[in-house]
Amino acid sequence: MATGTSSVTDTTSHAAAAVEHEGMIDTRKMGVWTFLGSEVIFFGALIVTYLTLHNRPTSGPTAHESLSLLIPTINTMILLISSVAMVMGLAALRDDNVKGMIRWILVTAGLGTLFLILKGVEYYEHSQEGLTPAVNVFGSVYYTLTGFHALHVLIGVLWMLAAVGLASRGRFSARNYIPIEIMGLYWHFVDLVWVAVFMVVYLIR
Amino acid sequence: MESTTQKHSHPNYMMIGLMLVILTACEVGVVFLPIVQWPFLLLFGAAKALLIMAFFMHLKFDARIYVILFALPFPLAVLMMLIQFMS
Repeated sequence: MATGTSSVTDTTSHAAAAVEHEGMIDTRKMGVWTFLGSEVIFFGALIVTYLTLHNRPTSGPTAHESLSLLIPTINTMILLISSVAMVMGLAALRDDNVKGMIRWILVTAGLGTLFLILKGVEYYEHSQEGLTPAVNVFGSVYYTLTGFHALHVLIGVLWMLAAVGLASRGRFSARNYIPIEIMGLYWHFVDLVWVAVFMVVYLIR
Repeated sequence: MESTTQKHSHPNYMMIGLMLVILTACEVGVVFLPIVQWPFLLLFGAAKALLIMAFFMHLKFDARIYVILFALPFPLAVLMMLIQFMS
């Protein structure tokens, strides 16, 4: 059942090994799912820390005073639509439409960049209102949680740009799509984390 | 570049994306209603997470071992939250 790829040496057999049917196991995907499992622990700990500390009575701005819904809601829509674009890119590649895949991945990277820009605008507004990481406990846990998520978005955008560069040189095809699927899994996980962050930080206050 | 004539069947990703956007609108709408909000927020959030995992991350179609690998840490995360709520 398991089809480990570590023993595969030549390009042709590597590409053939990359063609995995649903329901079969790929060692690279095993690795990325294990990594994502560790990320669940990482973000789970950050979210629990936020829940524990964000309402501690301290001086300075509180969650109720500082957080608005407009930018985070727009950012939620952006990330959800970017996930659609990512999965459309993978679908295009599996249909051997490399140009279509590049277009969709560029759309995804653009939406990820837009998310980061709006996050920057939100942070700027917070700083104008006196909410900084050092001002109180809420500031510390808020910036830690959302900052680590934004860092993951940035890594995803850079990963996508690198993948587009490789795709334009013919590195991916309908027979070698697993690297793009792995990148997609990472991006959807970043989206999944934002679903939790949006609910915990902005909706349940 | 190798080519293939075989087209793969894919779920309707646009429809799933639309459902996610609608669920997000419901989440935000609930915040403005004079009701106990958290059960609805948890319900909508869980529905969004399940849609993303099942269709975008292909867990509905992929090998069960991936589901197990990803799901294993969740009890620990829930335990951390329970400890937080009880303390």
